[in-house]
Amino acid sequence: MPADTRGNIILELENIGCLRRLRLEFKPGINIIKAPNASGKTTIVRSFSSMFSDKIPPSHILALDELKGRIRVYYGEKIYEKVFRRTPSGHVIVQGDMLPFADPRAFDACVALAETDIVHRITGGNVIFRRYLENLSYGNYYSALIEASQELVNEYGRKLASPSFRNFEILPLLLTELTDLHMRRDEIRQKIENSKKNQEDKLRKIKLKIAEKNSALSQEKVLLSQLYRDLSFEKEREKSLQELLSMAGESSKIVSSIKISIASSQDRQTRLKNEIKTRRCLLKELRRKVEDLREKLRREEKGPLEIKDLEEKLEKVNKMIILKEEEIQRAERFPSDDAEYPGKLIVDVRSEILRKIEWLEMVMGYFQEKYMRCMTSARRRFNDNVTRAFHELNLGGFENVFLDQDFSLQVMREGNIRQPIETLSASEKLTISLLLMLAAKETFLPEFPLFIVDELTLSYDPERFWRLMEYVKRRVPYLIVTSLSSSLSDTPKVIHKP
Amino acid sequence: MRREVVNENSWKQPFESIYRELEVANRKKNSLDDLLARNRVSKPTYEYLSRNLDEEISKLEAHLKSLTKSMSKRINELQKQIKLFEVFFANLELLHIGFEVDEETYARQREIMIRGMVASKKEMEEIEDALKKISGK
Repeated sequence: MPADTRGNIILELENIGCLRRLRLEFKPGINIIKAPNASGKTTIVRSFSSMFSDKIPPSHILALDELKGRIRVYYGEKIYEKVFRRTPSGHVIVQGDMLPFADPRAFDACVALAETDIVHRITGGNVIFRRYLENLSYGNYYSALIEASQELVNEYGRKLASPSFRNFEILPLLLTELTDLHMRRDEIRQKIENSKKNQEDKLRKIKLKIAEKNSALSQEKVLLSQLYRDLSFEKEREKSLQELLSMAGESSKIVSSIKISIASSQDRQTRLKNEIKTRRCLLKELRRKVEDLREKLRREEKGPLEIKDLEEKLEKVNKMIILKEEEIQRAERFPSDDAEYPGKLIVDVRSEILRKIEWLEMVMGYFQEKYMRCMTSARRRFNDNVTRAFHELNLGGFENVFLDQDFSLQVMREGNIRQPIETLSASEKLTISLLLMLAAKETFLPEFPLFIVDELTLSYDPERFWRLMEYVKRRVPYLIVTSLSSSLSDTPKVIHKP
Repeated sequence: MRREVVNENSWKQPFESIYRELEVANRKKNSLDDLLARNRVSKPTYEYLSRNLDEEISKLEAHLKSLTKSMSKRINELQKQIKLFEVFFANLELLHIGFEVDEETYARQREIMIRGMVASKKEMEEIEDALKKISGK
């Protein structure tokens, strides 16, 4: 690193935390703030941090019993000041400037407090660093956009699952049911038509039969009257022959001839009577048949029961068709009392929503790709800086420390043996925390001039700690370290190590 | 007998099923047209439903078309098969006239050939009837 030409940084505090009034001067190199317990070392770190990051709430900075406090920083021939005021309701509001190198990410990468994200994670055994890298690499903007888009898609999805849309989705089914009803209606109509045609055929056949029988009946009547006439004639003839016989003399020849004629006439009369009897029976039978046919015709003319049944069925199907059509009409629109789309066509709203979902999915795809690229690059650069720090520091016992593809921290011991974070010693956790923070700073905030370590050395090997601090000093212009000291006065003092 | 069943399965069942589906889809389209004509459904809803139906009808028609091709191919096969039966049949008759085959063998082979020929003609007629049904639409 080239020789630093920057000037000193002066920090002035007034009514901040437990400190009434304090002035400290930091020089390029290592600045050790020495003070005993509860004398305000962490207050100094927090208040200074609040000049470049907004991670510390103002209420944690202003002295609890004061209404007003001030932080003033002299940096590069300029003064930067923040004033803290307590409102009557007890809230603390802050006004003032931030330092020119202020960055919201700096607190996570350059301030090693017990509450700092990375320290907190590692000491708590949490090994997932996705969110940490997201924040530092601005990948969180992409993920926020993706999450917001996904939330909108979910919201639209919930809308599409509402009853009105569900009813609309069954429209094809309703159309199928309507078509079935149409088919049933046509089938019944066809049956009725066929049945009517059959009936007409039947009636025509019966009428034809009646006409045939009537014609036969007329013929039989003519025949019968002829037979009666023939019988009457034969009776007259017999009578004439009998009279002739009584007038005939003894001539046996004539008598015999008349007697033969009489016998022949009687014989013919007998035949005629028999014929008349037969014909009368036939006539009676024909009349009965005609009567039967007329009765059948009367019955058939009333119409068969089957047609009535079919007509009733047709009526029912027609009613069902009307109901189904009404159902279709209802399914295609929102109800008139719908809060969001009263009376609107569902198909229009649906296509608009689907278009939005499609667009959002495109947006998500685009940002997903951006996010992946950003995070892959961030992880790679971060791992490179961690590896370099480990190698340069030559910390015994470790082979490598890196984030894997799932952003899970992997600690490899010598011999490439993976060691779970929670099994590391307190000092090892601290070493890794500081190295990861330094790698984060070098990766994402290379120009940031500060690195602050607050009293993390209680359980630490001093020799290793100072080796680490020397390494940091070579990379950061101002290194500020707080350290516990019981030999000095209550007021924190800065010891400078160039 | 077994061969006949296999042949029927190869075209008859899919043909009838697709033909029926196509008929129902066309009826649905008619019902939808009727709804629009009587203002029982709005134009946008009609277009949405109609688009889906048209897609369905196009798919079924394409399927039916490919099936029709294979049925026409089957007719050609059957025609060749019938001609072959006729040649075998004439040959058998000649052998029988020339007393080169005994009565029992003649009767058995004649029966087999007649049965095969009848089955082939029946299947051909069925395919032709099915194809007429489509062309008549």
